[in-house]
Amino acid sequence: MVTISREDKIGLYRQLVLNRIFEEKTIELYRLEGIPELPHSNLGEEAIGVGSCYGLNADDYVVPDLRIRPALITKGVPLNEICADMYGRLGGTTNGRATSHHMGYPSLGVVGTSGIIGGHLTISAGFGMASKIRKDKRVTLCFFGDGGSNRGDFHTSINFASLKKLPVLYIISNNQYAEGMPVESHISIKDIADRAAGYSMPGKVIDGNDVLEVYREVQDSVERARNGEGPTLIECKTFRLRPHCEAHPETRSQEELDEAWKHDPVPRMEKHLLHEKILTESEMGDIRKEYTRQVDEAFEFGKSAPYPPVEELYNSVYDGEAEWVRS
Amino acid sequence: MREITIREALNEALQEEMKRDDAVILFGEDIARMQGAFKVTAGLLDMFGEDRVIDTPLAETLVVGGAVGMAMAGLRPVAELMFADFLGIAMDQLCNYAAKMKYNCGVNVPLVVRTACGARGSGMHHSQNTEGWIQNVPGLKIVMPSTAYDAKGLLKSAIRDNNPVVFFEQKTMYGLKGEVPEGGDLVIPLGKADVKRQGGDITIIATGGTVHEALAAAAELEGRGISCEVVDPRTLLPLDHETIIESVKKTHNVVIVHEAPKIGGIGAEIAAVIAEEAIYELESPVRRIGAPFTPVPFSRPLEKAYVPDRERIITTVMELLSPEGV
Ligand SMILES: Cc1ncc(C[n+]2csc(CCOP(=O)(O)OP(=O)(O)O)c2C)c(N)n1
Ligand SMILES: [Mg+2]
Repeated sequence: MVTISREDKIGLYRQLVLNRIFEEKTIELYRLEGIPELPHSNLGEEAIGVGSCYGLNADDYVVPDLRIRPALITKGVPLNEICADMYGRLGGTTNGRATSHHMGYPSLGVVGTSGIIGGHLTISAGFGMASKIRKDKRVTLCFFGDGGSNRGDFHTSINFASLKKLPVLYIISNNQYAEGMPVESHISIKDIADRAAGYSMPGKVIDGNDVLEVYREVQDSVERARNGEGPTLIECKTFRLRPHCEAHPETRSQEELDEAWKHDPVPRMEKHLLHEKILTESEMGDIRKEYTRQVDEAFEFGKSAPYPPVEELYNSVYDGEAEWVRS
Repeated sequence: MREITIREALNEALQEEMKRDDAVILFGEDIARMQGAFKVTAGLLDMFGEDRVIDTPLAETLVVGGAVGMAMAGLRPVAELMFADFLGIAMDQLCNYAAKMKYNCGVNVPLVVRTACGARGSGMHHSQNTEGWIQNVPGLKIVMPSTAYDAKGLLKSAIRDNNPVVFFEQKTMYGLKGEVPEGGDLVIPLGKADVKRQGGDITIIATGGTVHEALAAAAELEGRGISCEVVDPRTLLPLDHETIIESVKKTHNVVIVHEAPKIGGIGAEIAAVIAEEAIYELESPVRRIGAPFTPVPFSRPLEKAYVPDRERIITTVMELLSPEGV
């Protein structure tokens, strides 16, 4: 089993805080003044992206879905660029052509995906196959939700990955909802990870709100994948603390939400760090201050960057000159 | 007359057809408890119960495939694909099953697939007009209404049609109000275009959201002494040649407008029909206005440049009719 050093615990905590502050800021700004990109908040689910990506190599692949921004930030995608993409401005990854939701960042192994949920499941198997062919020792982390697991591509992808022993981790954020649908209304089984048995691959159910557990379990499966032993299905139990997106009203009961907030991953980690005497309250306060400033600056950058010129519309449709796309 | 929104008109159509025929059922993601991503199915779960208004898991092959199965088994499902961009997922069920079962084994597939299309700040995967993806699949019908009246009458016809119909709803227009008579049985036959404005100098053939841009352009051009006729095909498959050709013979000039990319869009088909059936009637080249051949961009100024608007229609008409005066 993986042991976690004090430095890594601090590192994991720092990422948690950064992502929490980024989310809080996003929600606040959307409410106060609007943001062109409609936020689909990961508030309360940060531990999954953070714990999964914290120990990865720079060239490992991350294949995100729409609510896993913490994976991207932990992988190192610059906040300024995320913000510029959220506002459709210059200075982001696509100069306003695409949103930040499922952005790619090739130099950090972040694979661009789609707002059309679930297509990336088979794409992930393709990345795994490429690594196997090239023997490059890279692993691929494919992130999706309980809702996404209902697409047939889930079956297709994990069957192939297990068959070929591909270095792919399928990481489910089971946040109990797919838009308005509670998980028991759309999935026939309690633990999605149990489905792994039907594909002769390991499946684990873990506490997605415990960043240390996520880190340990993912690292364990990463090692297995790097050694050529094949894929793992990891179901992270968590809870979507916000409505599906910030434009939707809350439809769940206050009791249900209050109960879920008790398992908030951030205070849980803080309690652990205090108990282990790894950080003091005041050191944690300093970390929060540092990141509040960084996040404020990033949003300021995104908001005040210029809009792209119309020319940008015609860029990057094809590789190479393609004047004819203007017609 | 009473005015209601397109959203309400669609809801009334569903309600009335569900009351008229028990075989009509609704099937899709978040349509029952959540009343649909655009609230078109509001109130229907309470009215008809969960055997007739059915929430599905997130799986578009199921939304369309399941509906095809139910249709082949004798029901009349109306499936909702949350966004037209998701058609790609269910292409096999739609194009190789729904569209071909009559030919394959003589069984009707009385299915409607309703889906929301068009750009409104949501980026490349939730903004497309995808009618071009399916417009050369024999066996399908395609409907694209632009007013509340048409939305209601065409959806009721689509539900009664024994063939698979893909019904595109422009998502920016759900709140658009228009006159719809109260009560009665409003049914508009598929395959009939509608002349939305009479005019003598030029025909603007427009679909979906661009119909309103064409009407706004026509109003503006009237002030400049140009009389525009605006034709809305309403049904893209089958296409009403007669109304289109009649208008061409009257005005002798044509501009075609749609929001999908111009290359390979329905405008190409319409232009070809005009060339085949009335080329000697033309006094100027047929012009098409559509999106450029790029994905739908996210950033506001880029999206604005992408979507065909009244300004582009006005400029194009002026280029054709008074080249000096542009
Ligand atoms: C293929 C597809 N179907 C439907 C949608 C609409 N939609 C967006 S998010 C979502 C729910 C996804 O649930 P889940 O996979 O559990 O992720 P979560 O939103 O809970 O993070 C739905 C239905 C979509 N974007 N893509
Ligand atoms: Mg979910």
